[in-house]
Amino acid sequence: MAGIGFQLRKLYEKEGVIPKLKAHLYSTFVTVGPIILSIIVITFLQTILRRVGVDRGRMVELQLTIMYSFVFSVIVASGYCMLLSRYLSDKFYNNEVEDILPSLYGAISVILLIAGPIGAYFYYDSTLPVDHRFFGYVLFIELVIEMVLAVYISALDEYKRVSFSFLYGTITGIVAYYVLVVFVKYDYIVSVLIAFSITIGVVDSLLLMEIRKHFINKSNKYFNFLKYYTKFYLIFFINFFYTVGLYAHDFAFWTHDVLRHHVAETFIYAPYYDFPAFYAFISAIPTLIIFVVKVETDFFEQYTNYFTMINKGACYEDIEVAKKKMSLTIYQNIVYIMQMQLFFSLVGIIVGMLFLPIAGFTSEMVTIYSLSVIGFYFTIIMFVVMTMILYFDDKKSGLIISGHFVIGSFVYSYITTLLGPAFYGLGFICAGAISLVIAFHRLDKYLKEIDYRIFCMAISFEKEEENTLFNKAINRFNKISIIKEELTYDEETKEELKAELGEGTVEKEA
Amino acid sequence: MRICLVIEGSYPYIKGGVASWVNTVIRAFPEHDFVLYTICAEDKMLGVYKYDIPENVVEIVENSLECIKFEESSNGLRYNIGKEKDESLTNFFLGEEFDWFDLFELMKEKKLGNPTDFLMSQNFFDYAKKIYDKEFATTPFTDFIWTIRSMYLILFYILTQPVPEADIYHSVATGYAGVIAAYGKYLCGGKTIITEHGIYTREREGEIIKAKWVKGYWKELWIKFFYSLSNCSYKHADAVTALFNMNRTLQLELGCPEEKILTIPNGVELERFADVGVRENNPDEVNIGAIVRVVEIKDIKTMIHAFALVKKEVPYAKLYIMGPIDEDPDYYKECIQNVEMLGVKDVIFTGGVDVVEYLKIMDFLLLTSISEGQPLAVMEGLAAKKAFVTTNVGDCHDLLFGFEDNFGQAGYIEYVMDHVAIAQSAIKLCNDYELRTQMGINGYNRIEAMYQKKDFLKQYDDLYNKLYAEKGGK
Repeated sequence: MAGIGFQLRKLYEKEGVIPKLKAHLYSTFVTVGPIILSIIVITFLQTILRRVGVDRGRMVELQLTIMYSFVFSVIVASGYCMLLSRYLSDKFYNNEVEDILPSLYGAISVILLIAGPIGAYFYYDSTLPVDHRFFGYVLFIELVIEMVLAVYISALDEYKRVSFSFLYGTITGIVAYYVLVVFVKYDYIVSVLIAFSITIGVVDSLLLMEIRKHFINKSNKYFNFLKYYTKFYLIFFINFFYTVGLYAHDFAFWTHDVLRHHVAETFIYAPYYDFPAFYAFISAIPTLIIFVVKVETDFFEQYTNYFTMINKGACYEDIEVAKKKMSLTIYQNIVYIMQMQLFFSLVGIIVGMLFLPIAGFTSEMVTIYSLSVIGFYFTIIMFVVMTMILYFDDKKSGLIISGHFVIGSFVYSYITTLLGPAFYGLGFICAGAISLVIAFHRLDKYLKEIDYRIFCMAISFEKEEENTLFNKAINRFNKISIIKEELTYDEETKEELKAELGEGTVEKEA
Repeated sequence: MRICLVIEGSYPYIKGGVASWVNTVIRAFPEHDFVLYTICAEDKMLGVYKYDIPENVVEIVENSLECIKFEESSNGLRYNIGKEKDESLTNFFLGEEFDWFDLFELMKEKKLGNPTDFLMSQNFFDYAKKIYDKEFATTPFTDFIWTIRSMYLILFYILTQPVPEADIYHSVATGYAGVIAAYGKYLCGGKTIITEHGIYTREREGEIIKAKWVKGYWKELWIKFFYSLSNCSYKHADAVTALFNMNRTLQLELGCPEEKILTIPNGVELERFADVGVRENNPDEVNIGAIVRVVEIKDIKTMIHAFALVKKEVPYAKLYIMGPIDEDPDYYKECIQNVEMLGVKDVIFTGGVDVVEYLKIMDFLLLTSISEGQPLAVMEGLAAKKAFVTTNVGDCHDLLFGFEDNFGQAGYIEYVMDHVAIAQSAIKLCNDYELRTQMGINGYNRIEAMYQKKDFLKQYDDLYNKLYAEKGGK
């Protein structure tokens, strides 16, 4: 009986949840962070390079190379990184830190197997110069790796060092660019790509060093994180859908014959819609910051309190009080965030109206921008509500919300492309707004049924590993890695290993 | 006739009073087919029998409590069982007046899914919440939910198991076994007999009160649960048998209808002890015997203390403790230490021996148990014409003093653990040959008249036949 009573505890024990939440929030940051960075770089380049008199067509090609690298690295890595973060938090919880570093190597290998061919295929038919294609490809791959590293970094609490690695990367990049342009007299455009690749390369290396410093012990479980796919595939899809949904409305406009531009046989884009939408995204950033702060203080306190009551022997009445407090906090936080975001969105619209025409936006594009700001308003609030729901491990609701969002983002926007310019931007608003309504409904339903959801939660036992083909293959891969490792062990590691093994036997005897 | 014996934690896995009773009954009726529905404690006991299974046992359905566990479940389901059944189950869980057949119907039609799914369902949560609000509102809620789930797990598990077909379901206890018998009656339309050796509810109650694994505030919950199982057993039984009068009284107190209760005592074979007879009077020699296993419940230490007092008055007395010493080696060691500490001589642990042979050299017998049912040892001793000093437990009083009969006193009854009084009575018997001989003969007469094996088997034969006829069998 005791074994069953602990089921609840295991799921909601404080130590188990906090890293999970942090990882979750951080990886969310990572999914939106790069796009912000790309917007900044592009804007910067637009103003600088234009003055130097670079060819306009090449400028667009550069911008698109960077944008594509960012957007698609985020999409490729999104769901995958969620699985990894689950794997990591479990490893921390079970105190199996020796499995962490191997899983990083495994994770990078696997994602490269996925992202590598995609990128290669993408640039294969391109008419871009070879060096442009090469460094575009490198940039994309480096960004994918950075996504994976970010998951591990989020577990370290070393934010200061991490920001320094970004700083060092940027400085190296700027120096490299200066050297390339002034001394080597290399092409302006490709030099930007090379410098950018160097920047991200430096960041990746520094992050990797940082991670290696923290996890010294190593097991041979390189690919075990893949087994989490069977356990947490819903989480994978929730995150993947949400991330794709953020861009799916753009894809819808890429189908439009008139708005679509095809650049260098490589990139498709619809500048008339894409640029306003990308800028609109910036307006949603305040919520992400407020959310992290609010969640880590108000909500989390009530959340922990509620589950402490449940796990530490409170009577029902006390649990009920804690539940009501928690529900109240959830709704208060959401309302607060909605108010704050409303303010920032309005500011965003006003600022956009004032400054975007200067950057060359037509009045129609400014309108699309304003509508997109509203769309992102709903989307980001939806994200907040959905994340709340996921704290309660209600994956089904998460899937419904994110599933609707990704489909809506594309389908509704596609419909507006048929309806005409007056409707551009409304599709995304619909996707966000309806998803938000669904999210509210699901949250409300969950909180109403929370007794059943918590106390009647399915019993699941740690099963013996099933002998599926998938698991067998993973174990085989793990073994291959050992053989390789044994060959490369130097004397020092061998000594360490011996010492470890020695200790192990002593413990057994004791 | 096909008789299904429902046995919990006894025959054929463990030797003991109830098990040997079951063995006797099965062997006594070779003309009937017996189906055994057994519940044992651990998986490793399955299929490992301590008795040779007689040929008229045609089927054994085994269950182990260990294999009854919570399984992988669904997220809180909601079963639609209709308003009427829902009210009925509410009454069941709240311990109010309730028709068990409503529950049986739901289980038969598999309306409540597998046990884990049901216990994890929203329906069960609602019932549990009602119990909680009614009586346990200040206790830890999560613990409560899991306590009540594990409490009902076994019950719901056994109700999902098929019950073998039979004409008569004869359960040798109330509790789960009694419920199974009632469920068998519901499913296959047989008749039900409950035979209680001890009083199941009382025994569980005692265990729960002492148990460390049940927290204080849940003890009442568990005790009530076992009461409700007994209620089911008594209510649906066609006959309830008690071994002796005191148990009959307890069954009445527990709500068993009076007309259902028959008192059928156990019996001994007088022939076995025909050679023993009354021992001649040897001045300077008194042998006191005790037919007991050396275990705590028999309270051998009190016996040793009492004998130490006897020894002071009657220096030539000897105490023979005849029974296995290997069941609880620690307790045996403590007893030896007691003997040494008191410096008392002539305490002889014989180990397991042929009791009949030893009885020939005994003058009278002792029994100092803390708890007994209807002790075979006393009946056998009386059948061998030996007087007794016993503690006042189980049926000892009626065996020695009779219940509304005129055979006269067959020994002395003293309080449990009262070694002084036990010693005084024993000294009386040591010093008075006439008295102990007369008492031995009184006891023999009583056994001959009322406690013969053939009589008790006859009564069960009659009961089986009567119920079989009622059921419509030929």
